[in-house]
Amino acid sequence: MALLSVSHLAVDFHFPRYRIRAVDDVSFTIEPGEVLGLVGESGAGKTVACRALIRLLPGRNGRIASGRVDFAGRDIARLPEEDLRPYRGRQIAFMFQDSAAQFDPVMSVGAQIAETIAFHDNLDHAEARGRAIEWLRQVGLADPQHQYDWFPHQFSGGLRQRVLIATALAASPKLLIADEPTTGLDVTVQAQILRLLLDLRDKLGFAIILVTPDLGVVAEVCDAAAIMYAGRIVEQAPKSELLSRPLHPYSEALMRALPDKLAPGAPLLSIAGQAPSLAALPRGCRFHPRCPYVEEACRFGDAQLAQVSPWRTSACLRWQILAQ
Amino acid sequence: MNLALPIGRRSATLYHGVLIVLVWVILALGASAIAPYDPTVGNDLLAMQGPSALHWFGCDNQGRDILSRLLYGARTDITMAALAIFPPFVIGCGIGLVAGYFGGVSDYLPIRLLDVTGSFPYFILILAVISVVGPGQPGFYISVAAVGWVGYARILRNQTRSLRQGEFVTAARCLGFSGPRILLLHILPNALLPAAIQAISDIALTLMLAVALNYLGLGVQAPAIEWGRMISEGQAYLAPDPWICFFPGAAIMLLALGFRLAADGLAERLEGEG
Amino acid sequence: MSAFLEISDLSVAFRPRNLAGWLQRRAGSGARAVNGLSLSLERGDTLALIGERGCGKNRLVRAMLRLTGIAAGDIHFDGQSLKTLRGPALAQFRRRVQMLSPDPIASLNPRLSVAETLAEPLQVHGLGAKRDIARRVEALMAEVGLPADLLRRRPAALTAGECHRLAIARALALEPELLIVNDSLAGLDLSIQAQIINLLSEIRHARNLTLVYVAHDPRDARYLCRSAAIMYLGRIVEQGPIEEIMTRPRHPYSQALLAATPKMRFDAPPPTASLAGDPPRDADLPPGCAFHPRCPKVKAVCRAGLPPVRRPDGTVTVWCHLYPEGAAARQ
Repeated sequence: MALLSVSHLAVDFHFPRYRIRAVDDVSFTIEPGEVLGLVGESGAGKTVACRALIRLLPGRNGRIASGRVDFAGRDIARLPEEDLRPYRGRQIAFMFQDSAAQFDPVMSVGAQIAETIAFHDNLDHAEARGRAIEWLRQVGLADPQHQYDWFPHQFSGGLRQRVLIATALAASPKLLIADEPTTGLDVTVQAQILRLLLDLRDKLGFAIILVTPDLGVVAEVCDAAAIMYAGRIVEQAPKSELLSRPLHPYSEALMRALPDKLAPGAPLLSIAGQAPSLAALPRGCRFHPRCPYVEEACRFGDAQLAQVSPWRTSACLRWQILAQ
Repeated sequence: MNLALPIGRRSATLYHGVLIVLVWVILALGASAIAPYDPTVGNDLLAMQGPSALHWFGCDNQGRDILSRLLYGARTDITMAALAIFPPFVIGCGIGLVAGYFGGVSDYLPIRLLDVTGSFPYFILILAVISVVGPGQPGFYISVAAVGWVGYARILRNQTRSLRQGEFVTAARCLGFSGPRILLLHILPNALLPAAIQAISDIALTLMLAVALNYLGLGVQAPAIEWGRMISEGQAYLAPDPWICFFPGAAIMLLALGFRLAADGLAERLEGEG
Repeated sequence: MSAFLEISDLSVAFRPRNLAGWLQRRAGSGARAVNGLSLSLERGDTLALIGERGCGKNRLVRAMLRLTGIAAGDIHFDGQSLKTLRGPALAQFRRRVQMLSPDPIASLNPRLSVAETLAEPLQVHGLGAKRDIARRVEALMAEVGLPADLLRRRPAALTAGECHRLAIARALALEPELLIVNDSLAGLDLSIQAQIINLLSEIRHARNLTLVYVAHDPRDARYLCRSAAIMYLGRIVEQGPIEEIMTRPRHPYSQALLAATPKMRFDAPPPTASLAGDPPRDADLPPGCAFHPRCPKVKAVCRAGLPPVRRPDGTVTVWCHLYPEGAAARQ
């Protein structure tokens, strides 16, 4: 059974005179221990979709409009706030995008981890401290006894990301949602952090939703990936199938935009134009104005996510042609 | 795309503030046409008369119409409050810009001066300056300029310092623009807004100051009509005839509120855009 | 004849953060962001300068643009030393060398419209009368693919891609010969990034620009550059044709950097932590080879002295004590 199964999730943001559907009809599943990449450009709705899972939407005007979020056999989209709280942090942990902003700047990082542990596991101070130091060791800090007392600003970007992982995992969650954990890091540090996440996953068995704009990261780290565009998922597939044969023109375009190899002097196959604003979405398939294969049907037909195989979906009306 | 609704919905603060100020300015400008009576001529028979259909706000101890005096008084007070803001604004912005851009000694000296000025109580410093230059309108303007530049200098210095490191200033240097051009055409327009908002908000403060000095007899001299003087003349009759002081007091409050609302609304609006 | 751009034994100090740092810099002591770096470019060359955070690439660029002082060594542009540039010669230099900022959106003055942004450099340098300038602004906008109806817009009303195009147009306004792209594309979405890279490539060919493309991620440099230099802690560790460096890095740091770079293939290997820790921040350089404290292949000799220059096959230059051992381990 899938650990998390999201079906037809829609998230609205309400404004005084209008509303914006930031996430529309999003469905995906993730198995225990799986690493799922959630890929898309800025404004595609990746972060909103993830935050909607545990109803931690930015601002106070975001609401789940419809859809189910089944986590370990229970629809948590409809749970009242108090019943949802045990899931947050405890079952589903979240690493937000801006790692510097997630620490209290006037409290040592060790104390912040210990606080999480003490809260979730009802431990006393000394035990929580010991467990926090153990977590700092697990995420690869050189001198956890000593670094327990450091303040957030004393850590480099890479170390801070490690500490953030420790904080997220301290409550032994079944699912970790990591929102662009390596954006802004150098590539050698990014490789360290991704390696660490995979090692911990192998040891502890939690599943990961890895939000990233980088298909290269997906290729190296993820078991499967879901591609988002303008608030919708356009394709979900196991990594190797996705990268060897994408079944949506947008995924294909992303892959070809910055290829590993290119003949000297040949231009890149860039996608013309830019992603539509959520306030003014085109009719039909949302990608059709930029799609090189656009047909008449794409302009009007609703491009629903179709089951291509038991483990693959595509929202392209022409997926059968692409599959050949 | 930022989907979160801003905290506290975009309000009508700016409109309300500007409306109040605008109404007062129109009343002051048109005082000679609107005022029902001559503000300087009293009628002994009407002395201390309460509000009535003919004299809406009543009459003072010399039988002069308070409404008419209020309208004429608005001229003096709005003029003093609004004019007094310019010298400290210009001086402060100039010093702050130079200090922030060039740094070093040109930064150190104004900042020490700023710290010293800022650590004195505002009103006492004003009185000290007036005691040197003497009472009257020139004294008022000079004292506000001497004390008030501090706030603008601080804002401009900090703005300039952060803008100077900014990417668009680097770009301007790469394009070979001269120092004065970068300072005056690129940094200054971007640094000026917060100071301008502060200035509008400060008009309320200088209004209070003008009224207070006039009340103490250190500002405009008789026979000029002015709200602070109206209050000081009326305070002897506060117990039996409170309206003589009440209406000028209410007018001051309303006008100061107008300036504050306008400044807050403007700041809010610009924050929403930036 | 000397090279178009010749950087010889250049050292640049860190930006002083406080009075003590400023005094140190005045005294010529203190840590250096660029430390004895040499590089030469011919007209029409395209060089990728690749290095991670803290490697000194930003300070190097600022020195190349004469935005910061030179602590030691010198930079010659077309035979002229940057140290002595003043007055009209400096104005001339500004026209010939332009930079695309690391944050092109922030590099636009928010209060100026597209037209004003593009017209200002032309006016300042006296390039054409009023009507002439309007025509040149239109031509620039057309060249970078900005529609003419954006003329009166301010940067806040432009998309990220349009801001980038505007910044490029402004850099081209003075018809430079050398363009330094300073890690400008990092914040862009993938599909827009590809558009901008294609645009830069077209412009480079059309105007025969010499290009220095500074990047922290080795991936996007490949499409625009023929040669590459890898930087670590203020020095170049390896330099040569870009294909050679991408496929067969010889310096242990280049190897680690490229091993850590994600590869978008369905059979990509899982990530390996090819290097431990972060490079030291603002620290004094370690003695000997600057990379030795993190080098997986470090030997006693690395701690002793500066690495020698090795030219294994005439095209690639490597600064490493261990070469060719380092390369052998990789292949």
